[in-house]
Amino acid sequence: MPPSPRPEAHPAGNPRRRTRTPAIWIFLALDCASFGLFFQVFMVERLDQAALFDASARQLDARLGFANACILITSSWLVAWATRTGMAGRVAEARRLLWTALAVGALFGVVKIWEYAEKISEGITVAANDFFVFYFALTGLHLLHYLAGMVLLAILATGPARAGDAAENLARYKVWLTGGGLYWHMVDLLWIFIFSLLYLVGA
Amino acid sequence: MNPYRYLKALAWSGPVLLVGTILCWGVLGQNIPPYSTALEAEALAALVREQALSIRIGMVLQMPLSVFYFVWGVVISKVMQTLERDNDVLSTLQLWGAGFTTLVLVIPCAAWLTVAYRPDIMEPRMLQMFHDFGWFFFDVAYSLTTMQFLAIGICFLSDEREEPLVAGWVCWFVMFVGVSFALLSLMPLVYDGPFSRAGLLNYWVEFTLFFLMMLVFSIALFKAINKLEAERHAAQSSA
Repeated sequence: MPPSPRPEAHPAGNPRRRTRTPAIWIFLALDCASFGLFFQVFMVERLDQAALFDASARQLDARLGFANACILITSSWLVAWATRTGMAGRVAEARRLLWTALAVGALFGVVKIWEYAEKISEGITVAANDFFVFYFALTGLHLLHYLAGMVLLAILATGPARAGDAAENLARYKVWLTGGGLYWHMVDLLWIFIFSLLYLVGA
Repeated sequence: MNPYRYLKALAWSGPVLLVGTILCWGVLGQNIPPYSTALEAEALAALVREQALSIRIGMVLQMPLSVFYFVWGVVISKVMQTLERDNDVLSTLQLWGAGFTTLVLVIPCAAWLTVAYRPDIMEPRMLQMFHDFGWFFFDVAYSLTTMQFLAIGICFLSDEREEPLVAGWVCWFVMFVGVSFALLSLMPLVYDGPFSRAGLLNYWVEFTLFFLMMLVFSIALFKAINKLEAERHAAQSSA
């Protein structure tokens, strides 16, 4: 479909903003609230089927869950370091840290795939029982968040845009670095709750 | 030349659809709340027979009403195009997403209309099958709408005005609602509980979010059109 005739994107006299509050906060707050609701629903369902949920939790390998918690905490720490460095204007150093965070974070995916393959080979799927519906739902949703976060980190690791005004690009990069960092910390935080609720409670 | 002629009038298609869908699909169509997935075929058939006329009227009204979603999508695209600089890929994705979502609002209604048309002579399992088909189409084809919502969010976030056409929090809220639909993938895997099609998460939370998004974004769309018109008048006055 050819673009239709349109007015100028930024009419003359309309001031352009160089920085803005990362409105990603609303996304993060809603996401955390959603997971909070999922955790509450999980606990309510757990009350009705405590024995089944305990027995099912024992079928999970808490060592893998713990390893993934350590991986995400380390990766999150690297991102926090990169954000601080980037905000100070040392972009090259921030980019190196982001690539390192990305490499560490990739291990989470490897462990998760290993864990899923193990469960499926044991005949444990989403249809196994109500506990595993929650297990696959919560870890699957978290995995989607993780994948989006990895893509975001990779984009940030390539640095600010090169074309155009360098100062404006750096200002915009800092905003996205803050937002991306916050998102990655949320992925980390959510995993800690998921690990505690699924792998530890009842096991 | 007025590039915004008709936009505000057509933007009312969103609120009209929102109210109409709640009444036609929801109240008359017996979808607030929907019949439980855990019902046996005979029990479902008995409920449909009891409410057949109401369901038929609801679906007959909902099917033509659904075109308003596409009209709303066209208006959103026109506003998005005022922000696009290098190409129109986001407004195009949004428009196609709105178009396909319109079909999602039409085709399942045809399935539910079929179910309510001759429930007295329809074999209960056949009735259950058509009823399930309607719900799978309605819920699991969510990626069409997710694509639309992400395109909206990304495009309006790129607005570099001091006071953007659409507030940042609205953009992120719209994208959040789009992404939250991923939970609907679990619907065909369970028969009861919070992830079932009548469950707490996949019905009450997801549908509330969708309707809330339509309400919030409808208000944002009116404000955006007003801003564009004000900018145009200001530019004309200064010229």
